[in-house]
Amino acid sequence: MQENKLIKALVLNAQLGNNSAFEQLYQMTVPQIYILTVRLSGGLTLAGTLTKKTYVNAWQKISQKDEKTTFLNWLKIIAASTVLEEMGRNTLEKISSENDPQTKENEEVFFNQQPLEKAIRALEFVDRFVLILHDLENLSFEIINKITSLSINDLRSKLMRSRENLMIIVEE
Amino acid sequence: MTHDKVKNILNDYFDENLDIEVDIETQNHISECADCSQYLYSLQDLMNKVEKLPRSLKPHVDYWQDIFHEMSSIKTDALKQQEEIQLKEAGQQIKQDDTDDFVIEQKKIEAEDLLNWEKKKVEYLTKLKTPQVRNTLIGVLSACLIFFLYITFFLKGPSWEVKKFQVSGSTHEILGELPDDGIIKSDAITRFEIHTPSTGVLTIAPNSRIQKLQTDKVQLYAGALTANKENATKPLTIVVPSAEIKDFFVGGHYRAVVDDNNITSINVSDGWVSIIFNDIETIVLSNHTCKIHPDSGMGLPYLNTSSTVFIDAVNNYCFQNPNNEEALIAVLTKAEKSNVLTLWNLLKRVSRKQRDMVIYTMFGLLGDPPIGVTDEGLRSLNPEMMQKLIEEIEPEI
Repeated sequence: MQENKLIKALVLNAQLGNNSAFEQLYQMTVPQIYILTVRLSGGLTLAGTLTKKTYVNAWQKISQKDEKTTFLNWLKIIAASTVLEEMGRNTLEKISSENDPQTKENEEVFFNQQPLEKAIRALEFVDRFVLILHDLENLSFEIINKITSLSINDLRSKLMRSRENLMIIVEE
Repeated sequence: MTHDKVKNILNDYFDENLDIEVDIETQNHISECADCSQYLYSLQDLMNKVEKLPRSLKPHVDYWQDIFHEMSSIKTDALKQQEEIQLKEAGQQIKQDDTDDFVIEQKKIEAEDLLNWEKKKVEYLTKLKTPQVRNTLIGVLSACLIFFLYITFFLKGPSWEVKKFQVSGSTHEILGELPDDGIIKSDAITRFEIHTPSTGVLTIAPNSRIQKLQTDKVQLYAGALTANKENATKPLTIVVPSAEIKDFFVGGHYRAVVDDNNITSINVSDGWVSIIFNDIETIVLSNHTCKIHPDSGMGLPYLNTSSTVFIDAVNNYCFQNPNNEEALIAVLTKAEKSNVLTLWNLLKRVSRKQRDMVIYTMFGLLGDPPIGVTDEGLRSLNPEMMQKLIEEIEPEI
């Protein structure tokens, strides 16, 4: 997919250390990154923390961004890697216990409005992770393999398992 | 190939990840196996539902200040490299020529200035977080909010003048201004004309009922409403059962009819009209008609002079067999060049995989895509490309 010229220019400026350009990139992409972290982590407070970490990580690595990947897909990869990294550090459980009542309420609204959203949240973490990246974010198995280090066959079987679990729930 | 083997690769078949030979073998097995067909049907159904899930969500709070704060304390890879290079260059220059000291000094001053400026920015942002500054800000914002509420609720908007006509005659009676929330109901022998100061002239046909909602919004409950936007300066929104109709560009002429079954029909004679139904925007151009069934869904706009078979195929796909691939193929095979607006709107309704078929048909009819529009862009519904394409389509139909 071709990158929007404005985004290209903003990325170039951000690579030269321009904070304002990076802020504009943040404003343009945060709704897509936030929903991804909400789904991957299964919680709004967690998603807030992960979204912040994603952009800080992206700022650190912005010079490595090449033209092969669009900025949004590049950010999605960083967001997914950030979620995995934090899962490894077991910091997510601590953050999730800090939920305030309003956030808790918003969280219930988001996940209970759509039965499918609720069903995705109930999947095992890795199955959910693969399904979201492949079916919702349209990332290829090759990219998911780079993020997770799981073999492509393993990813395929996890995707099949999560789809089958969802099919049962959807048919009910 | 055995049933179990096929079942294991059905997901890859669905994702079009199989080699052509395996793909054909799988296809042959599916055509004879009810179990595998049912599995594929369920998978398609699931993917249709997944397609409809939102792809963005605005956070309830703005994280930028926190991110910026952290960014200020770290150096990007690029900055680190740049600094290393500058240090090396500076070192070499000192060795080569002592007179360059002045230039280096200047560079240092510039860098320090930059650093001070960044520090000041961080200090300023930190100050913003102190209660005193925050309270002042809240005070100013509250004053703005009160002013906004005053304007919205206490200052009356421009008035709507209502004229009543007898169907058989041309003389009229001026009824005065229509207040906010005011309702107009016409009987079998009367019609009304509403002259709005900025959204054009609205004609209410006999046996109709409307309600003014705001200065630029009206609800049509029953009957027919014609919007003549010739001298309008602002867009008008017409609320009908399950949808909202709005000018895409200010200007034009269109008619909305709500029948006894709450089915709405929009006929555009001039201009561009946008219809929002379930957060999906449909664009209707002049000489096109579009129907909305509150229960079975949103129709696709079609050219008034379209063939009957095409209109039947569109209605079948939209209202009787939504998301059915055979019904979709019937629309595509019966489309002519003059029907490309229907296909343009169809792009937003179909799944990613089906979108290829629509793109292929559209450019089969239109010829090459316009400059700046690519198949990949349309596949992901790139807003700029979609806009460019519809602008190219308009003169063709």
